[in-house]
Amino acid sequence: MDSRSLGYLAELLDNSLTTLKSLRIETLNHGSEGGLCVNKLVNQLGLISAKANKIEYLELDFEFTADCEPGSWWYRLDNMLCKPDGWPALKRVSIGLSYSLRTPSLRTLESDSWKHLPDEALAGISSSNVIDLKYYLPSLTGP
Amino acid sequence: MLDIPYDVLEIIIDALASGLDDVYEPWRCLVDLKACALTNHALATLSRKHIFSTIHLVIPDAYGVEYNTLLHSQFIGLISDSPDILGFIRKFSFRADAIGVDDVALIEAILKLNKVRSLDVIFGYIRPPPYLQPVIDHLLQISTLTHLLLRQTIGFSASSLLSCLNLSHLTLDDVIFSHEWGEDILLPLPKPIVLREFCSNAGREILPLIRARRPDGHHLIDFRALRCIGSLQSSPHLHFEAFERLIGVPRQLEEFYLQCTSKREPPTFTFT
Repeated sequence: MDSRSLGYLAELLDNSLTTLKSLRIETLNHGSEGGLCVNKLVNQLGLISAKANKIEYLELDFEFTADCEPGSWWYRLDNMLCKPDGWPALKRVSIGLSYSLRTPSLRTLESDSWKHLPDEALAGISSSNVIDLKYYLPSLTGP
Repeated sequence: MLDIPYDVLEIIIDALASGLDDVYEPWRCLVDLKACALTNHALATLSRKHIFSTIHLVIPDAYGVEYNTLLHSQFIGLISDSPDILGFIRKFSFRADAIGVDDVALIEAILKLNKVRSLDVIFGYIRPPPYLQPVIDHLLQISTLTHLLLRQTIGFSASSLLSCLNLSHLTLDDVIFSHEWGEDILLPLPKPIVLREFCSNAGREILPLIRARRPDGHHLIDFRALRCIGSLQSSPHLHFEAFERLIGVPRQLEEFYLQCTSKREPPTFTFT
């Protein structure tokens, strides 16, 4: 499914939200398209959280090339997942990150910035007593 | 070790073999099992059923192959020398486009498989050739077959799926079906396929399967019991419509997996 269809995710799942327990989204994007796609995903998750849902397990895998700078959407994701009554059945969130970069120096730099992500940008889920956050550091697969 | 009861040894080996399910490093477990198999006769017997539970047939110079790969000649020799291994093979994959009409020994060896649970066939964007149809038909009618992955084929006859009596997991990767029903379909027809899990990467695969009906008027596949729907890769157009139609069918959908990607080519980077 291409990234345009991601904008219809909530509509697509509308009739299944009361039975759906596990939702896994993997995005494979390049450059600025990655940010757009993730923003779109966060918006759609917001729409899903506004409806009655029984989702227990949410897995989000993000893969980028180059455009890895953590942006405000991390905080939006954190706020949205920790919204009271938004996800009444949510038990676990898995966030996977992988990206590739072309120079070893940038690789190290970006890798270091990602290491602080759960504590800083995902503070709500990290400190949640209800939601278990499983976070994967990026795999450095660049040439 | 010989004092350990056989059933306890079996539990130990089975526990060790659970590492074969490791997505990333199943070969680590395989190394251990092979070491066990060399220890004594009892452990060899117990280990072999796991060592040969997965077989991937590959061609020489195959790129990116998984563990437990065998060349065609190795597979023929293995089956010839140790026919008991046939009963151990649970997962089997091969490239249909790598089997020629002259590969009689290989075709005969595959036709002996009878316990396969999971089948993965890569067609390489060809229509299944007539000389391979008996092989496909044989594998699909194995009563233990529950998982089927079809890849890169055009004109695959949907009627071939009729014989998959116990199929519960179907994955399609670039498959274009033909809906011509053969004249040799035996009546009465078996019960419809009741899927629990369905993955696809293109809308063009989904809609024809939802619409497909058997000669007796029943749907070819019953999607109502689906628990899991997955979308594997990118695909333009119609995809949303197809998934929307599919998602409306199951009564108790529990899992949804979506992989989405931009169609745009990666940009060219310059570092100064």
